[in-house]
Amino acid sequence: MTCKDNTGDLEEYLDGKLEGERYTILVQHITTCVSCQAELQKRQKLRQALKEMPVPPLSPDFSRRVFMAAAQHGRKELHRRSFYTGFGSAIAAGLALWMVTAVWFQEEPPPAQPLPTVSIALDEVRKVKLVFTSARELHQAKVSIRLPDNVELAGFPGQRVVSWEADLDQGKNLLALPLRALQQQVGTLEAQIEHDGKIKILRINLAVEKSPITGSSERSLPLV
Amino acid sequence: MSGIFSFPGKSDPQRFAQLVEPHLQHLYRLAFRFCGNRADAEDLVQDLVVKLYPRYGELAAVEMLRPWLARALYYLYIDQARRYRRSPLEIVEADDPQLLAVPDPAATPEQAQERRQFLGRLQHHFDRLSDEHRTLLALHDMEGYNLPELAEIFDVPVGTLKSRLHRARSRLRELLEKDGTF
Ligand SMILES: [Zn+2]
Repeated sequence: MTCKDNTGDLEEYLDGKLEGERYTILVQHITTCVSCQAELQKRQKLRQALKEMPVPPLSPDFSRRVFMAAAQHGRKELHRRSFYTGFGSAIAAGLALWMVTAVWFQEEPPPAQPLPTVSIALDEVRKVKLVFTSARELHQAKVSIRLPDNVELAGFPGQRVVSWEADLDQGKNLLALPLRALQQQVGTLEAQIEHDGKIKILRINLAVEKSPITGSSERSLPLV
Repeated sequence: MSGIFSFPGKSDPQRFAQLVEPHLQHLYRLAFRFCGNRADAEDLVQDLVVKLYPRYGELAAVEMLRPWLARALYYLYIDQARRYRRSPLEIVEADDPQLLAVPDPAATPEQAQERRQFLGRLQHHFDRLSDEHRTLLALHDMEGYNLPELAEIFDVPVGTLKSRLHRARSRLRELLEKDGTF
């Protein structure tokens, strides 16, 4: 046996599929051949590492969201079909409503974890930092900030949506938003980046509180 | 009212969820291996579930749902990947895979750091493999599908899959060796 043509056997050995005489020959060979030992170890290491590669956990409310999306989509389909087949639309509407609530009932128990929340004191301006990572440089990406009713972007009074074009570097891009708190409530801010037909959206909750908040005047999200 | 839901093949949201929910976590793991980030992986799984919803009757009749769903996910991924390449943007999340690598309690801090770096490089190169190689390694080496199951999923004979797997691993190793990781 030459070392070059036993790679197939090494793989089968690692699969636990090598049997009989080929198994015996390979095992004998490995005990005496340093280069094949090293080769086997490398292959083993790669396979082991592939098995160990981590997967981040699913978003906490994923299951609920997915089945709601499916039922909502199904409802649209039903409406469309009922229109064409003359299926009574009143019944279709009743059915659709039931479908959505059914999924809600079923999926409600695991409490949906809230979005990351940043607190701002009433009338205070606070910088909220978001980080977008880009795999490559992006020229003239469209950045849009959709603001909830309880805050405004300093310098853009009364504007609910603020959009502009920006170039993004490869790697981390920090977006610092000076937000002024207007009303004592919780709202959701959406930051959207659009480039070449692709859209990414980051959402955070902004909780406006009455008492001045102690601590840093800048707040970095746990997203960073 | 309940009679309305017994149309043959009509989706009943509760039964549909009961059927698919147990596989959601597994589908997401596969999707993450395919896509390389959580946001795209979740989108892919959601797209699949939405598409399958009207096909409840068909799903309910499937004997082995896990490989059936894996196959559906794979084809959806390939189909989407063909239409538009993966998004160039990735939101930084607290659960960066590099930070999540399970620490070995017996390892010294240096060894643990080295391990993290190695897994980080591996992920980097893995994400750059061809779709064919990446999906095959994801299913076989990472998620434990065996060759006969994969032959069904890919519609390819076992022998072909074996040599494809060897090539995929060799390619990955080549990339790791080139940057001195391996
Ligand atoms: Zn040898």
